[in-house]
Amino acid sequence: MSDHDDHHNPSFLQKYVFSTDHKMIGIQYGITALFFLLFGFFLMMVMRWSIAYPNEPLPEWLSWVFTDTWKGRWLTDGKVTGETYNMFGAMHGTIMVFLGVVPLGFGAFGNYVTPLQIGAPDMAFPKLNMMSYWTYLVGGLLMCGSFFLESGSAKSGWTNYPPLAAIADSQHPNQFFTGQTQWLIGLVFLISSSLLGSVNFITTIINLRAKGMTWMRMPFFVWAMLVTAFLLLLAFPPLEVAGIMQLVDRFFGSSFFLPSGLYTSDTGVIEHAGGGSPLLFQHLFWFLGHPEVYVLLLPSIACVAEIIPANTRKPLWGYKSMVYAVLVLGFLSFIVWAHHMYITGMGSGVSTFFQITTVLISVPSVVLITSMLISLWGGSIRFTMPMIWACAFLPMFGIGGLTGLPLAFNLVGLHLHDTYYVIGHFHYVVAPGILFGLFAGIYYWYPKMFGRHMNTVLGHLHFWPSLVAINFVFFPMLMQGMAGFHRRWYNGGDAYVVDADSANVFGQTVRSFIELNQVMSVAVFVLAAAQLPFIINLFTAWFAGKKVANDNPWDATTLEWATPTPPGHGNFTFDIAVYRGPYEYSRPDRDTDYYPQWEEPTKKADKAQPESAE
Amino acid sequence: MANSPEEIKSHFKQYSIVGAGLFAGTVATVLVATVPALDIGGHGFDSADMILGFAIAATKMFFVAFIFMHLNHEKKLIYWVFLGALVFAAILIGLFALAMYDPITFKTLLPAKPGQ
Amino acid sequence: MEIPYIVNARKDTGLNNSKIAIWLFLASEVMLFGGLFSSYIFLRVFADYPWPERALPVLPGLINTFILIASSVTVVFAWAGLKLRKWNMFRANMAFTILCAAVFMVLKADEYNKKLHHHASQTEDYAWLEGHLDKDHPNQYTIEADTINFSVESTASNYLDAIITQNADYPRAYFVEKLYEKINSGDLSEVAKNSYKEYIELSKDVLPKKIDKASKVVVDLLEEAHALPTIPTLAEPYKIRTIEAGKFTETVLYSAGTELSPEVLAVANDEFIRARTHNQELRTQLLKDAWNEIRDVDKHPELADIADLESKVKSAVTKAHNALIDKAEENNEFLIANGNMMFNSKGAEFSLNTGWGRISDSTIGAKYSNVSLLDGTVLSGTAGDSSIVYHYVDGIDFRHLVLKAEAKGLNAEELIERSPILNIHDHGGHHGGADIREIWEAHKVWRGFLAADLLTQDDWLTGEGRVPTEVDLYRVTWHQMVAYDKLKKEMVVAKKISANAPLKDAITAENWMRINGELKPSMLNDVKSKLPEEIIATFPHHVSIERDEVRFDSVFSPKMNNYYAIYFTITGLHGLHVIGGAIVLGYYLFFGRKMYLSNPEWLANRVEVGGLFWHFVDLVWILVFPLFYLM
Repeated sequence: MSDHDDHHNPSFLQKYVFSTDHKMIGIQYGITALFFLLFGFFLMMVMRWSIAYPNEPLPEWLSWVFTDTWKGRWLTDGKVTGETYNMFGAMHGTIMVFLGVVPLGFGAFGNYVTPLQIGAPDMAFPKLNMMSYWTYLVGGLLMCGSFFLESGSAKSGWTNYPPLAAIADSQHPNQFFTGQTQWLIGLVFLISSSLLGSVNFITTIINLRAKGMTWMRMPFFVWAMLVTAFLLLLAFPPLEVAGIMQLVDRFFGSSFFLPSGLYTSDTGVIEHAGGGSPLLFQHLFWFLGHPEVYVLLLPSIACVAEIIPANTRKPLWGYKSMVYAVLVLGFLSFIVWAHHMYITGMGSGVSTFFQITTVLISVPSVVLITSMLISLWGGSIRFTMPMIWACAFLPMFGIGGLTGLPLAFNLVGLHLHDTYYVIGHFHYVVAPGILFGLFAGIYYWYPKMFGRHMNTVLGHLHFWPSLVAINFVFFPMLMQGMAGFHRRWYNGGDAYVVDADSANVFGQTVRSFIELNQVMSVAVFVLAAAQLPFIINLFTAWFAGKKVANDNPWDATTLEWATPTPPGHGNFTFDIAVYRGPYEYSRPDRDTDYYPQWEEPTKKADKAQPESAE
Repeated sequence: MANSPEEIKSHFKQYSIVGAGLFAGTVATVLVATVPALDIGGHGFDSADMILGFAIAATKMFFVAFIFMHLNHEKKLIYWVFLGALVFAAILIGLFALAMYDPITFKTLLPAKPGQ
Repeated sequence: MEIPYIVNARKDTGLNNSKIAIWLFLASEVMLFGGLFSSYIFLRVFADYPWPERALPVLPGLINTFILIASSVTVVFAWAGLKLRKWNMFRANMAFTILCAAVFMVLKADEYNKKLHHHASQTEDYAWLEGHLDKDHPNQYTIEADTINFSVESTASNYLDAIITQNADYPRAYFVEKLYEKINSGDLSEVAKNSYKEYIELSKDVLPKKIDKASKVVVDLLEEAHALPTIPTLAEPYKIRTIEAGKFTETVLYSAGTELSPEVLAVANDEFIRARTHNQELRTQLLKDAWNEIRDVDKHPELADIADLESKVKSAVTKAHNALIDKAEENNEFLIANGNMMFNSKGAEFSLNTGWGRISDSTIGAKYSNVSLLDGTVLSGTAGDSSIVYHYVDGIDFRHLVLKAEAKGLNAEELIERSPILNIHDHGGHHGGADIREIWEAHKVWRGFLAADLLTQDDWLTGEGRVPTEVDLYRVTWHQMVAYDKLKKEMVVAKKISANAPLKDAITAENWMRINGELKPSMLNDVKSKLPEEIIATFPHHVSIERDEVRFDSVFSPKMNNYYAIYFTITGLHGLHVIGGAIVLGYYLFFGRKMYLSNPEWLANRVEVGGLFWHFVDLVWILVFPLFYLM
């Protein structure tokens, strides 16, 4: 199959822009996603300023991005308004989830690594793969472009709950050019992109495995990608339905999500038929929303699961149980969604069902995290850059997961709903958890992608301040949340503070916790500064990094290290065949401490043979 | 999956019969719904009509999936993928319909059903 | 490099790539329609209004079902034709399939079209009147506005723009129309008439650019037009203060008397934004200055420990900021940004889309009525005729009223008798309102016979006598209107009743059963794009209801209620799938020959994949048909 490798020289556009090569698409995904992450991070810094210093104008170093006209519209005396805060909040969530983390984990790593690890020349449908990226980019740009509209972009939270979202921006005669509508259209694009991607991934993993790559010889990374793809495939369509229905609500005046007699202070009773239900939207949304959490998480766990064995020089502990756990996790994630909705007052029967499944799903999660933790035991750990990030991932994700347990219960859920505790919980999962895992992945596969190592000093300058700062950002949130701080206070609770001698109990509580706002915000600005070494590192290592010594710089066992560096079109230069499991490290019968999957067995004692796949 | 010409030819009759059966099933549903003499259960549309209507529709869908879409001799993998999706769709539909289910006070919580 | 298993199946899985992909895609489609159907169930189970069951005409749906099933059979044969390497068999079957898709879409389009031209109004008591609107009547809010208060700050894309556009190039075209009346009344000479025609020709292009080319008479005419007392003009000068090289000049951007036009609104909006930008910039700088001053510990030693004195700091900053702003105002450093523009419109008449705002008093001639648009613009003046006029009425429905009455423990029958729908005042020689009352009286007689008859039958489920449905009791369809009318004509011909007798006398114990049987107008009318004239003639004509009696009105679009909303959404998405499938299959039909000659197996695989999608579309329709048309 490698006969036709170089029979044509693609033009620049074909090679770097409209590329059908899974590796180039993966890199495109990665860079785009990093830009979106940076943008989402910036939005959050503006919000954090407003929370910590609600009475001060935005400082020059935050506001220089905006034009004066924009500031005239969206800031009052240079301060963030509630409307602007809502807009930034909604877009921060949307960008981070749909445009940042998923494309980085699934789009970038999934695309780059999966075909390499199963020994495939490319994805099963390369053109579909390219379309998937461009659809994603169009969707993302539509969403972000709405910042420049008269209406501003979407303001109803990343969850986009109606009736608020369904009637948002109704003062504009042309509904098409409103932020809310653009958000929905962008979302439909993103969903289409994910569907194309997931069909492609599953087909590739099922049909394009190399000779001898049986199911149980697949690296855990590939398993995680398979499950992620299934989650996207089956969970996204109901959200697409919800998006389409909300578009129908906005454009054709239907009332899918608008109850009878809906009243607003601006317009009185809204002219509509009524009879719809906001609850329907929440069901459709969270049917995706919860599996989406695992779509975020699994690629990150997958990266860490590859990095740990390579850096402890011992097999991944409990590989099979991890595989089964991830399958169970995938299934269960479909039937836990309503734990986001306890406060909607759904029936106690259904609520009990969802409490049980929610508690159940912690079992496979714990299996995954425990297996990786045990994998460290007795290993001769090399503290390389990726390994340091992976090591930080484990406890950070642990905190995120454990703080989620109380929320599984209806009673606690009702108390903590929409407080900073919830924010703290899921940010612990996503930021120091998932993002640290993905950073680990970047440091790990960078040498394969560009043939050069990232700088270690800059890496440490990136890691340590990030680790410290991020905990100062999110841990106080848990404390504030339990004190009752609401997640949508644009001035951080400033309006609730009372004098020391006041009898207002809530006001006193807010007063005693409000100074944490400044701690968190300063930590965020430190965190932002800590990303500078990474950005410098990422781009300078491209041409100035230390060149890799060979094609397998980490002495790892999986197939991506059998390719040239960087891999050419078609990936492998020889007919690849697989002879053993993915994590054969430190085998007593071997001279070297790793035994790659592709290496033909030399001794007769080694019975491993490629199982016929054709 | 039938692949040899003889095998394919042998299925022609089956396809035609299933097609005719689908026509007949459609006519049956319409007659039951529109002719007063064939109205089962109470007068007008009610649960009996609904069950019969869905039963006929489900049978028709079964034949389309198994004969026309060749699920009857398809690989196990595809079986699982499609059935898996059906299971998740059933979960979706079932839990939506039960969204208000409350064994404690369901009589007071369920809104009155209009038109019945 | 070549991707393996494009055509041939991989041995251990037994599948090629596209086969796996299409089934995965179908799995996600199952979830897509699963989401839609679960929404349908949710909306129906928890509906707080009567769900319109069996509301759609069955015959078009039935024909469409037949069409899709037939196409599903032929697409299998098309694939078999390729497998047997019989090109003509493939071609014929595939062509038939695509033809089916086309017919399906035509029928669907006709069904949509009828729904979108059918109107219904809900009165304040939740009764429904259905029919076709009189096209010569605006059926919108109309107001003779004395003043228009335009909210400059809202947006550039303002509703007032939309109104000007909707009212046909208002104001110029409006004046020309007034002028035309003048011409027709004979006030103007023949020369002026010709000039007017020329003017109309010119106005088809962009008018202002061509205006100088118009003949002198046209210009004269226009001057006359402008003299007509209906141009909205600016009530007070719109002033702005500009800043140039540190110097301020105050100028009048628009003097009082400037005509209302989209340009005026847009320019004022631009000026407003400019002023707002400048002022915000200045205020921001002043706030920063205020903070710097407070932080200056030398000046404010009492505020050194900020943590304890949070509220003191806040008030000190606010005070300092306000002082700085006052000073800046004294120095005229702020630009003027007036958020409102008041226009005198001297009774100019506007028609307004009811979705854009709300009229405070729709009684014709109400003096101090106003329409507040969603963006804050307010038109005040005298309410015009905002009533809804039906050309003819083809259905009345009291189910929603009954549901609401029962929930409140009220006597539904009494409320129905008092409903505005049964008490419409006729004027101008029309008798539509009285006709509706007669039809309802006749319906009450008929449903009495029906209820008595059903009691003698057994309900299979409860074992007791059958009861009429809510639809039987409280809804009168056009089928019934036609049947009642036919019965009366027969009775009159048979001389059993006089031609003047009320309609209800025509329904007797002998003939009432025929209404649901032979007299039910043939289903074939449902597939005609318009009902025959002789049927329409039997409906109540020229029915007018006042706007203040109307709670909600709409065509049978998604806006109507969630039944139609989900109907349009599901069938619309299904229709998109039909179109998509037909395009793919059509591609194989028209461009497949080359591939057939080079690699027939590959084409067969592709057609199989396309066919699988087509079968799935059929499968969905098999569920959609009973769900929407029969349940």
